[in-house]
Amino acid sequence: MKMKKIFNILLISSTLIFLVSCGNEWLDLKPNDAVDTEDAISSYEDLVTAKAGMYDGLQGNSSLYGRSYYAGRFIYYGEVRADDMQSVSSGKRSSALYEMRYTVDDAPQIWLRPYDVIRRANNIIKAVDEGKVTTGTADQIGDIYNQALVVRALAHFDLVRVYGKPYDMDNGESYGVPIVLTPIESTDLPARNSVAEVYTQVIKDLTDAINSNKLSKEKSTGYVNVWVAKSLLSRVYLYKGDNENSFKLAEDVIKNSPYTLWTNSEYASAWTKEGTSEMIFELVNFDSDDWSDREFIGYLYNEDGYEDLIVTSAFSKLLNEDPNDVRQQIVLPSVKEANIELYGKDKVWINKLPGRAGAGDFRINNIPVFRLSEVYLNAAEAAFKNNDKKNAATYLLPIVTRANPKTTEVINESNITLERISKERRKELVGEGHRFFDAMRNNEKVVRYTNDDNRGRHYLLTEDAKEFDRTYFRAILPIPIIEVNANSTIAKQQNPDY
Amino acid sequence: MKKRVMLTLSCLFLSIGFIVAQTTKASGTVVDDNGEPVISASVVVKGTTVGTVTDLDGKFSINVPDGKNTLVFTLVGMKSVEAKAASNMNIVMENDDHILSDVVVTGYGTFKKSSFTGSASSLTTDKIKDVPVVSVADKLAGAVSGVTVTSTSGQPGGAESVRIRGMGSINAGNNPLYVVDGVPIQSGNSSEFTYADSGASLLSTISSSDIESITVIKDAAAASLYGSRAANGVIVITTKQGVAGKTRVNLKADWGFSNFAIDYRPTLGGQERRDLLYAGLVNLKTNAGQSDAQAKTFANSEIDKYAAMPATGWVDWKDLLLRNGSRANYEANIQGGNDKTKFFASLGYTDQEGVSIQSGFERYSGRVNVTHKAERFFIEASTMISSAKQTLSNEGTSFASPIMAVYGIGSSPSYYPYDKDGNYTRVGAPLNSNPLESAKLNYNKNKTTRSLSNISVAYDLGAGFNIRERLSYDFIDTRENIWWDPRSNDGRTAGGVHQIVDGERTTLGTQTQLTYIQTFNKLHNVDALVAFETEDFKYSYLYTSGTGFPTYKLPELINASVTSAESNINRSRQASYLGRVNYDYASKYYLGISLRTDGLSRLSSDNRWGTFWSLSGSWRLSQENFWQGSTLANLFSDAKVRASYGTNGTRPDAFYDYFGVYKYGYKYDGVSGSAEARQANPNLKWEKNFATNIGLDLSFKDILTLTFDWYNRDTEDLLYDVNVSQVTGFETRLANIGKMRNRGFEVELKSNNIMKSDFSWTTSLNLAHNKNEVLKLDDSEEGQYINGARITKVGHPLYAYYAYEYAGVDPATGKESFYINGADNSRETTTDQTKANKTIIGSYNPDITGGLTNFITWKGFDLGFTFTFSLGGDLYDYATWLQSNGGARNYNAQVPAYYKLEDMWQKAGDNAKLPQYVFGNINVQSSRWMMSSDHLRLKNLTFGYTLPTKVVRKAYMEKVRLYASGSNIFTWKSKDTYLDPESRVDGLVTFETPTLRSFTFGIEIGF
Repeated sequence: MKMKKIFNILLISSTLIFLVSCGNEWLDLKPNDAVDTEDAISSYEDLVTAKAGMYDGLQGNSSLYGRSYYAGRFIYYGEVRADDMQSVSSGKRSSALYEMRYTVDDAPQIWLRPYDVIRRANNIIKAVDEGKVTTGTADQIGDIYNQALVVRALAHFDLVRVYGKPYDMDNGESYGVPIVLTPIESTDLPARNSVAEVYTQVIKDLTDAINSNKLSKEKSTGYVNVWVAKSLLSRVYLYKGDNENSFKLAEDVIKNSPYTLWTNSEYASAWTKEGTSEMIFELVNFDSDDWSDREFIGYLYNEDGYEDLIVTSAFSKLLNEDPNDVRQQIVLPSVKEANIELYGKDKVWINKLPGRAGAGDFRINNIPVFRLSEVYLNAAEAAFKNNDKKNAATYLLPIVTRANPKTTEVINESNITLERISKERRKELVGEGHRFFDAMRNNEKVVRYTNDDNRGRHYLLTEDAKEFDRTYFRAILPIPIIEVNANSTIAKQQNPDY
Repeated sequence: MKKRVMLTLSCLFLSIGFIVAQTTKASGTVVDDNGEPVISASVVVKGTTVGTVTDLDGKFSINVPDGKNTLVFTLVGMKSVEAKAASNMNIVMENDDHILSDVVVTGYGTFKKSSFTGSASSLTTDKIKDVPVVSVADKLAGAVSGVTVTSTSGQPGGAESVRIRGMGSINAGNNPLYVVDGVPIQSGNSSEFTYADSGASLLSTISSSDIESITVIKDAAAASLYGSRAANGVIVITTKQGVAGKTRVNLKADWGFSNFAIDYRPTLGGQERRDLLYAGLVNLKTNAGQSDAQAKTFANSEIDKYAAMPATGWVDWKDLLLRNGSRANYEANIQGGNDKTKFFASLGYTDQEGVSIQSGFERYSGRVNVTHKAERFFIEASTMISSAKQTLSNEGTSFASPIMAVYGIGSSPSYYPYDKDGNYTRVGAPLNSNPLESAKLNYNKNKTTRSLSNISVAYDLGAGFNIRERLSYDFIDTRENIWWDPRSNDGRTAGGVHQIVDGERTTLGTQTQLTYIQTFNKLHNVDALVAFETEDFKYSYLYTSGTGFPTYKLPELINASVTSAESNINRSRQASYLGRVNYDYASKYYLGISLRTDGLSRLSSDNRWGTFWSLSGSWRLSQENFWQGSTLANLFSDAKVRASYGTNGTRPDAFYDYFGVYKYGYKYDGVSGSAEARQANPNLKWEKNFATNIGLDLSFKDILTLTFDWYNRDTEDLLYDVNVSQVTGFETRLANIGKMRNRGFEVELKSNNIMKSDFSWTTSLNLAHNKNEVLKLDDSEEGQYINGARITKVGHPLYAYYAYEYAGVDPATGKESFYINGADNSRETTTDQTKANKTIIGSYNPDITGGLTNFITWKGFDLGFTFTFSLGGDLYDYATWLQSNGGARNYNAQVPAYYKLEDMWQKAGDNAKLPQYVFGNINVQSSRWMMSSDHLRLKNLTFGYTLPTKVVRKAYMEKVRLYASGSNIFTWKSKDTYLDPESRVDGLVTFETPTLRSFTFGIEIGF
């Protein structure tokens, strides 16, 4: 009986303990890898952390959508769709964009990632606007706030370049992309704004940021300063056809910024370094903790990597006009036997992302976004289009003579042409994701090859893809199928012919 | 003291008061005429309301009030017995009816099938024990109506998909709850990596030879007691227990081999492929207006870029990457005991080699089950320990997937994996990766060690009350290693990559149960239970990786030049209160009520408590006087109608999804950044199921039994990861989005054709029909979610396929044409798919599924075989890269044999079966790539011979049996179905390892 008594007491008390202890509190569990959105940005330190997250978004990681922005796809998008670069063969990461055979079901997308960046920027803007950041000086907070405005503008601009028609085709009247200025609800179904509206918003964000006087005027490697904002705005105006403003801003950067062009002797080796004299904005690829692994654009370019894309025969011909051009050194000939069989000693492999100095791994390299060279070329082009041939020559010349100080070519206001500026731009910016956008905004025809005799290194393409201009429907991507399926508003706003 | 106990308990019960009189004690065992224990027989002191029931071993113990001395033993299907009360009584009850003696184990009680008010199917594993499959779930195939078993992959040890009565959820949670010896266990896929689609099945840690019986609970009557996890049914597994008497030892060993069950994705040989590609090049130019001669000149100059014959001859990649699998299996068990203590102990070893050269599965398992009875205490303890090692080959669309290499886009007959010096080469490799090199140098290993312990102490409080405390601890340790050799393509740049995940899953469960079983006036039988349960689950992992190995010979991380790590802990808790009452009157009328309340940490405190209940009843017509007096009684020996209605639920898979959160680890410039990862969803709630079941059980003259069930299962507040507009910056959000219905019927027919001592033959047939329909999405009857080639739309089944409708070859152009399916429903066609509209072209869901099983014994021979079949479902070949009639992949990779040059369009006006093959064509997702999954499959067959006892006894043995067994032996299907008809459950097939056909030969020895 005694035994039974003890047993009964134990039984009842243990039951009661369970009943009491297993109430609601026992069931309150919190994640170990996340914080409540409400508390996420409440101090200056949090703001700095959120800022790093925002730039990480531009850079991307090795995940499926992660690689679709500056880490990879956005760069080769600007190359293989035009005439200076091509995929090595079908089945490569860049092949779909090169072959231009895609339908709405399988088209590559550059969509989620830029909008993800926009949300990260908007979260910073919102937290500051709502006064949630309780520590830090007004200048410190204002700096990050205005960096977020610039990043938001950059992402909108990139999206409208990919999904909207070039501005001057119809003065921006056709569909651009949805403008997002706050962190919206996940149930929202935004509609597309017109190309003009997107440009207006991008210009407003950039102008606001520049006029705030909160952005740094010093070099700040890896982050937006006022010169990044101005370089971007110069580019935006150039794309818009507002050549006067484009030139004004470009000249401002050239004259007043702390940046100077690399010298001829610096040129070849500058790509592995960080914070060099002409690099206005570069995305920092610090080590294997913030890289994008083998999906990285440098790995795609490298013969020892995915050997994904190479320069075309046409581009080789262009570059070979001057054997002493320093830019000969950023395109490498093949080393591997199988490639030598295919390309001989031709310089085909872009070497602008050879691997960060000291990292010993070509999957780690800063990604150039704004170089002073581009700003010079913007200035030259904008000046020319503005009938200011003197300045056009003035700003083209440093690029030409830097490439080969001993050049015998004479460039002056009487012989300068838009073609000459465009040719220099192709040579200077190859591999950095510009050529396709430049061809489209200047209404140039993209000619890969016209018959089997001038095919060069191009592999067999369909008739459509051999040559086309910006009226070809595949010259802009379809709104991704996953967006169309999830967003009934945008489903009615698909790009024509998809 | 006792009185006070009762007072406290009455807070839990609805005040049940009684008086305990002066008593003497009677006890004993009830067995049937075969000497097997009789379970849950009612034992009543004659002339009183005092009673109890026998336990799983047929044992009982009862307090007989003074002045009474006769006990009455009754049980449905058995003849009643009266006997004088004594201690250590031995009662033999004779069977009244062989057929109805099935037992239904629900985990919350064990019932005779005849008294069970719900819908459940049981099977003893004895007859299918020899079938050479690794997982317990695979053994269910074809044996139980309404249960569909598929696996994503045929790799040994891969995760399985079991669907009971269709799919009640859209999200992942469609698998049933598994309960082993009363304890809900972790099941599903434990793998953190997705290089292989097969995953690692947690269920495969359990050796199926330790299993005594499996009960599949399909309706709400019994499942509602499992509340929030029972929406997709419950599979209750009972492991083997010792039997009192002579200690017995059993040994078993078998050896076998396996290959693919069907001719999967046939491809063109080297020359056929070359001819086709050549034609495609010619067509490119003639379509562009060139002459035939010009076009041929062009094709001659181009063809070797795509289809040159290697110096070594055409390459057959099947020989390089695939093989015949093999199998070896060894088991030993020992069991015995006495009245008080019984034990069962086993050891097993299984080794399987998969069909791809990398894949394999090896498992060691051990189990000890002990029961002990000491006066009023009854103690049960069981422990299982197993260690399973799985080696996997990549699958799906991974570049290193051997299946994709051999049957798709990773190799071609023109690509030879070695260069002239015999080294691996990637020259000519369609995907820049040498699949053979990857297979030989790299590995993906997964080791799972599991210990599952369970101890329960029951105490007989007397007067029919029994209290039991059970503690269970499920410990799963997983370690996954992914090694990319520095010499391989994947590991080259990094100097070797080694990723390791160490995972630990622990589940601590407690169950406190109070049961009351009593018979009043011999007619009123009450069986009641109240319980309180908790479950605390924790999953923690440590991920580490290293790169830069000085030598490929030393892959441990200590040798790596760069290492990185990540760790996290996820927890989930649940607390539950539950109760049920079963009542029957004179074994004629049965009534059951159950109620359960679950609280779950994965939901916000406002929504986390969910209450689930059921009501069920049955009526045994055959016990009525009007029946027994009529001619019906001559025809039907037993007749019963059943009905049940109840609710149960599905909990969210994600641990913390109701929180809106920021996450860290977005690294930039050496800083760990933050970003918003999810918006808050405080309204997230349980997915609820409302299930109705109406059933009929009939026995014809003890030969044939028929079970028929009609059911309707409505699921509300469906949980779904809805794709959101990516303009928001997010991809998906988890939400309760709609309502879905599964409705259908099931028929089970069992027949004892011949029942003689040296010759028996039984046949069972089961058929099931299920119709799945989405009723509401986003609170709208118009709602739809499109996800690739799949659509979820109101009025249609889940996993409907959404693509263009193929209209055959356009006779004028030789292109694929499609029905426009515009608003006016016209049947106009177009060759430009952008002018056509996608439509629902079919669905995965079959109309009828079923199985036919026969068991025959004659003298020492035994033969058992099961056919399974399925009608009315479709599969969709989602290997879209191959479907372009001459696109990029069709020129550098394997070419499917469905491109038959002789069936292709040649010139305008041809009514050809296949479109023209032209270089550079694009693929269009259309119904052309959908195929029927109708099939009949000889799922398993076992043939055995048991040596005569007289002979083996001379060698001091009790039993010697030799057998041969096979699984997935023959498959009859349409010849156009080149995918395995039992492919993955969403029906979208790419390059997963197809179902394996296995054969094995074994020997069984008992001492």
